Amino acid sequence: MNANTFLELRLAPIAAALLTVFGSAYAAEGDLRSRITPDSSIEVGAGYVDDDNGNFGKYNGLDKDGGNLLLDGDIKTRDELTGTWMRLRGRNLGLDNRELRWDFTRQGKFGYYFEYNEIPRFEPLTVTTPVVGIGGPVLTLGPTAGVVDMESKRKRFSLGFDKTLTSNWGFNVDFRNETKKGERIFGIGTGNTGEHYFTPEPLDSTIRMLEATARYTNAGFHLVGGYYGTQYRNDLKTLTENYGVAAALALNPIVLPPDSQSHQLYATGGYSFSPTTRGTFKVAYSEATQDDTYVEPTINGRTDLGAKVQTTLVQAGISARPMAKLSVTGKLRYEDRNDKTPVLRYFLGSGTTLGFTEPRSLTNTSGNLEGSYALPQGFRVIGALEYDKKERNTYQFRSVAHRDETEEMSYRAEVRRSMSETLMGGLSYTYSDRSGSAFYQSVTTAGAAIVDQITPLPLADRKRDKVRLSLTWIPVSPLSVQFYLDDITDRYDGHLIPSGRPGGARKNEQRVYSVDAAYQISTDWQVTAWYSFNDNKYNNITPLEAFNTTSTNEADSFGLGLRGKPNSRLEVGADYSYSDITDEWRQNPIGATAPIPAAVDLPIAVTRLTRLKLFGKYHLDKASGLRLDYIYDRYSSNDPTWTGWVRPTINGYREGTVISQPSPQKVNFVGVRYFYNFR
Amino acid sequence: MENRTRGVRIALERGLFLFSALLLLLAGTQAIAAQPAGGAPGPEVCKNCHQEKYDTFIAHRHGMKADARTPAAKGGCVTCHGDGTAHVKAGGGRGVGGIKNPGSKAMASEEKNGLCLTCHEGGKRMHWSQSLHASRDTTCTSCHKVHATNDPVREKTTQAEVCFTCHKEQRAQINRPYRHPIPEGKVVCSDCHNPHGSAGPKYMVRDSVNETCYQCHMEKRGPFVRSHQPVTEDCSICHNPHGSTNPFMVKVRIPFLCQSCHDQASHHDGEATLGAGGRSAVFQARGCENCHTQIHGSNAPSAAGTGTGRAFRR
Repeated sequence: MNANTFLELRLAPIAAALLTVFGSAYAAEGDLRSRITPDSSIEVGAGYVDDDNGNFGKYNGLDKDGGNLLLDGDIKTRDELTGTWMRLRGRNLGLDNRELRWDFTRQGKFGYYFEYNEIPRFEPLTVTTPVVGIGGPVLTLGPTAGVVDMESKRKRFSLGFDKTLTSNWGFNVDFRNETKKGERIFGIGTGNTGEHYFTPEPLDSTIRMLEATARYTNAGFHLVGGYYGTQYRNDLKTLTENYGVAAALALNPIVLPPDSQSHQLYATGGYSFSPTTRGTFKVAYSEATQDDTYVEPTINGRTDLGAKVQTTLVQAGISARPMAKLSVTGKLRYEDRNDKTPVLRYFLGSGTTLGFTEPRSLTNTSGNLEGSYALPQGFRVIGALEYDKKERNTYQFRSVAHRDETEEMSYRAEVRRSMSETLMGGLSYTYSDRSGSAFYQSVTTAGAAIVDQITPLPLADRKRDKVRLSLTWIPVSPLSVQFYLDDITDRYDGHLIPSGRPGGARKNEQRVYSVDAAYQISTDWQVTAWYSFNDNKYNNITPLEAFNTTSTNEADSFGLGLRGKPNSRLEVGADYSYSDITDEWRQNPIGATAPIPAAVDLPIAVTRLTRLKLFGKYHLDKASGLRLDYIYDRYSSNDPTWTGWVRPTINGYREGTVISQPSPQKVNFVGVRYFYNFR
Repeated sequence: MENRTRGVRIALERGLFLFSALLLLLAGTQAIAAQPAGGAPGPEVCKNCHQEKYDTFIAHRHGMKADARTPAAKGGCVTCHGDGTAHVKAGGGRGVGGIKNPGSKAMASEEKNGLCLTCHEGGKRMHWSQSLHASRDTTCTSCHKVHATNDPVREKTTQAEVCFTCHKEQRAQINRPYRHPIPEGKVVCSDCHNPHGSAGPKYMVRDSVNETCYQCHMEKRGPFVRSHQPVTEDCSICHNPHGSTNPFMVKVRIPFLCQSCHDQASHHDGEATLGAGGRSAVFQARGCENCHTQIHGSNAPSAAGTGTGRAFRR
């Protein structure tokens, strides 16, 4: 045997061993890596909008006709050894609602993110105005009126960091800075039959939020302690119009929202007393202040309000399963909002106020108790009680009737079925009864009692009946049908004080009926359809002119969807939705069914929205392809909000501003993108 | 010399044999390591029948072995699905049993959720046990896709569609003319609601409706020299944040909304008109806010002129 033979023979077992250990491992590693590496993608293309529009492009930046860059990306990496994930997401980078986010996580150890997000709002109404200086603090009139594009944009920058210190301890910090700039429709007026002026409000403010938490976790015990601070800063304090009209000048300057800030400390946690019993809680203390410098002198010499609101929250809950078939949950919540703003006189008021500041404190105590008992065949019966009490402070001189306390009890009975292959869902009935302390009859500063004040909607006695049905039916495996019904009737005891005659809120009805169906035609094709009917009807009585109004909002909406893969390279989809919404406001003299005279009758408003979305995705190869999107959007409305609001036709803006809503608005959007997927 | 050479060869042979044996032992140890403690079948066994589930598991955060908290680091599939020995011995297959399958409609919702809550009971899920979702048989898998690399409910553009599986009224409302940019994915349900339960009402992410709204609408917070009582109490007394055909997303068109509290003590009780010179200013344009512009509160401390902060007019 020569040396070579020796090596060949003797090294053979080593090679076999190496191959066994590392060869298969190497092959497996390659295979494993390809399977665990997350998909990344980049999409780039162009889109075209064929017409200016208000409704379709309000928030997506596609409000003007023309071309747009379509650029999206989602890049992800994973490192198995270190447990590291990275994700860089960019959405709508070529549009005005772009956003970009970077996430980095070393799983189980730490993670951080940065996010930049633009949220625009393009005014959907067409504004033709002679006002100059829109977006700034001083408004004047130009020689002629012209169409102006009004918009606002929020630019939000967020960042956060999370660290797991030990298996028990960790902490988290989140920060957000959001600026809002632009302008919005706004106006001032000198009375309902007086003069009105278009004074667009300038926006230039910043919201900051910081939240830092520390957490402790140990075998069923979870505890989080945290700080949450907010800050609002408005760079514009006043809005002044120089239209040269005495009545309008008297409203100068218009005071814009003041700076404010808040700080909160809280602790929240949960403890599992046993595998079937768990308690949770939250305690929090907040202090919000507003001490921005006044823009004008006061009669009391103060230069700021010195407002301070202290809020205390205590909440505790427990859930338990004392018997195998019985589950019980209960919760108590106490929130005290104590407004400690100094009470000082600011206005030499008369009538319904003496001109003192009126701090608004509110104490809310609520709780619920629910028992649930399991029956055969997946059925379960549930009984629940809910209690809600609100205590408010009030003042002797008011323009609105008031009561200190409201209390509401709710009783719910429900039967549910789960754990079934064919029919699941629930039927519940809830009865609520809200009442409270005696209403105060207001008096004027001259000491005169104000008669026939109505009991306000949020305070009036109310009885509520609520029925909810939710069913999911799967008659055969590829077909599922879902039924949903929500029917709420509120009966208010709105009345006049002190006579007790009916007045104010009387009845409110809300109904939703909905049916959804999904059918899996084959492994590659699925079709969905849905229909919803929404009906809201609110009735109230205004006392002096003795008529009642019924505001009705009815909507029929339906949609169709299709997803399919005609072949291995092609994916297609279609979504169609349609809504037909009718708003009606009837004003009837009490005791009569006919509407009040036609001269003051209000038109029925019909709003229709149609949207068709089609897409096709063609895979050129395993990694890349083309995507085609088409959207047709139609919006129409005869809503009378701005119709005819033109001097001298009705009231209109005195300086000549005209605001209108083009109808119908039809938009076609076509987008073509190239996508590339990689790992 | 030859003996010496032979001795070296023998020593080398023995050394190589031992080295080879060690390598093979190592290979065997690796194979054994694929079996979790206790003899329950490991992922390598499960994947023989459940390849797709296995692939999504290892591609998921649950499959990250470097994180000692994950199922991958704790034994794989058995961590959530239980010891599948009986399932394997029976040859597997639908209905054989022997495993916990949260996808099964025959499994109680508490049991399904219990599997996830074993690890995910803290943080934002702290108040789950008291939530209405929990008592309404909502399960983690009702909303989340565990065996998927992308979970639609955690993506801004697809989250709302998941919520609309049950919340039909909101599905219709988000397309009304006055709405938040929910269809565009710029505001998502979880910006305002924590579906896992919270200490606030209506699953609010903050402790109250108002504190939640102030996250984006902090200019309404005040407090102001002149405050409007319902504004300080609950934004949802007047507003429907999911969408409306009424400007400002109010629940009922102005002035009828305002007339639900305000009456003839001043001039609030008249009918709404469209007629010239009539009371169109309470219905048209900005409605009552044509004059009461600062309806959320006024910080104008002076009663100068006719426009007073007292009446929310400047």
